[in-house]
Amino acid sequence: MTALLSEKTISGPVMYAKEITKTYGDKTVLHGVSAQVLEGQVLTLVGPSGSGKTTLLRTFNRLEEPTSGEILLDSKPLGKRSRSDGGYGDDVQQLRLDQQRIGFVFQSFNLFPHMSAAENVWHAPVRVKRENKAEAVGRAHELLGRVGLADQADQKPATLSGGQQQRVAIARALAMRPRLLLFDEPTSALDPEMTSEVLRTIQGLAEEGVTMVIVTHEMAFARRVSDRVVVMEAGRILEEGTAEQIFSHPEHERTRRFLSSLE
Amino acid sequence: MQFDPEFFTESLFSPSAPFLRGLMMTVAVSVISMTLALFVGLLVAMMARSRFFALRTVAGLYVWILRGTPLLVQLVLLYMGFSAAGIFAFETVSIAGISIAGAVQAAVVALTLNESAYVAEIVRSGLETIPKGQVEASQILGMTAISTMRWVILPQAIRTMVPPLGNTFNQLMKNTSILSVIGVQEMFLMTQSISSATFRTFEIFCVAALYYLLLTTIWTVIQWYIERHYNHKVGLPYEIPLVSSTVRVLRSGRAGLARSPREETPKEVLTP
Ligand SMILES: Nc1ncnc2c1ncn2[C@@H]1O[C@H](COP(=O)(O)OP(=O)(O)OP(=O)(O)O)[C@@H](O)[C@H]1O
Ligand SMILES: [Mg+2]
Repeated sequence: MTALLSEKTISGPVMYAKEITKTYGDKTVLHGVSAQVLEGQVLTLVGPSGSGKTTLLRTFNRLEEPTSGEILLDSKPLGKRSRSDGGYGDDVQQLRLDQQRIGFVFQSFNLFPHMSAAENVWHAPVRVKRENKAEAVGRAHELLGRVGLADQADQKPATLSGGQQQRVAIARALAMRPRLLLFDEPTSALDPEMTSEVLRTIQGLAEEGVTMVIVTHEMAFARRVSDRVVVMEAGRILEEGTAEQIFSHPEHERTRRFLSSLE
Repeated sequence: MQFDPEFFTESLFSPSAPFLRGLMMTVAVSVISMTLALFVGLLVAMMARSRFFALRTVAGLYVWILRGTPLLVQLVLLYMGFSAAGIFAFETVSIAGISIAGAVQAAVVALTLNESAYVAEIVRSGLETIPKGQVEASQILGMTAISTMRWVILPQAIRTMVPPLGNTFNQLMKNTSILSVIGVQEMFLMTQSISSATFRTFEIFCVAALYYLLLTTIWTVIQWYIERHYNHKVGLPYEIPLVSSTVRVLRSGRAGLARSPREETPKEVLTP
């Protein structure tokens, strides 16, 4: 079995988001939020609807451009290149390279419908990273096997169930050998039966030490899988701690209320 | 009523050499113009999506003018107007031993320009049917804008573009009949000259109508295969009977330009 992760680098957080703010027009949806994930850890973002979880997660790979603040990937500013004057400047090419190292799994899968499951997985390694095609195809099948879809490799997304599609999407993200995987409510578009198969897959990754940030409304899952939990409310961090702290001994009355509202 | 059945069947089943040459001209001019228009139209559609205001403006003007004026006027302006003003004249040229009359060149240019404006609009609205999530998925995999277009957007958008593109090609084939005004020896002009030589106007124009119908019907069948091919590619079934699809294509003119696949496919799959 090949390693899921890209080679380890210096210790320190894999990703550090520093004082992220985001405004749409005159509406501020993130008020200087900071968060970090350490190597091999799982961070989950929970909170009421509209609290800014998706927006925050999407700034982590600059799919959403923060209004201010900084994202560090392995201690280097994401999508920036050092300038001669010692500072950092935006660089489109660097951003593309950095984004390749951050996998993203969407709520609505966003598979490429005209490609088979396997092609979805090997496409970017071959066309973007210029990996050897035969090897990439082999690895795509291996990854599909790993998410329990060895038999579906040649199927088009339209013929797969939602849960299967989401597992293909996870394999597609893994194929890039990411440093970090981001999930935005990976199961909220799924029926309950399919939810568990996807959550099992994600939990498997967590056990193998894949570094992840997960936005979810599945509290039982969050409790099982998280090293750290961030509770958000109205664009701010309400409370942060280990899964045990947040779920068993929440400090804030509002955290308690939020958690009990989900039971 | 005067109807010469013998002349009719003769003209229909063993058409004269001039008539056949006219038919070939109609097919050749249509196919060449459409092929060129696909490239030009794609280019204009890309310009219309450009980051640069100037390019978007040029594309907008191009489509506005070419779709807002009659093909007949464009044709005459290009072939006769420009030369009358001493700006430009199409001369007979010879390529690989075949001499091509100036009128034929003007016809191809005019049809290409006119058609490309329609193609550009079809491509533009076809590209818009691709959900934003597809672009985001490409972006996070590190794909450039060009490879996203090449590998993700175009292959999907083509499926939604084929029906309107096919319909506009159908229209184009019929529109070639107006090329007769600048003396292109296509099927209509040939029919006219047979008519004035034989005075069998009714019979020979019935024959011409049947040949136009044959051309558009053959194209409809080809289009059906192309549509099926692209639906297979995204794993969709495509079980519309050929006959009802023929009727649909023949009925719809340029009106059905921007049908999205979502409102189209399921309905057709359901109605046998
Ligand atoms: N493109 C946008 N333009 C304007 N406002 C936006 C935009 N995207 C998000 N918002 C607003 O930002 C706030 C946070 O949205 P976000 O989607 O991040 O919340 P969320 O915590 O992910 O909610 P949910 O649990 O419902 O997914 C919401 O009030 C939303 O209306
Ligand atoms: Mg959300």
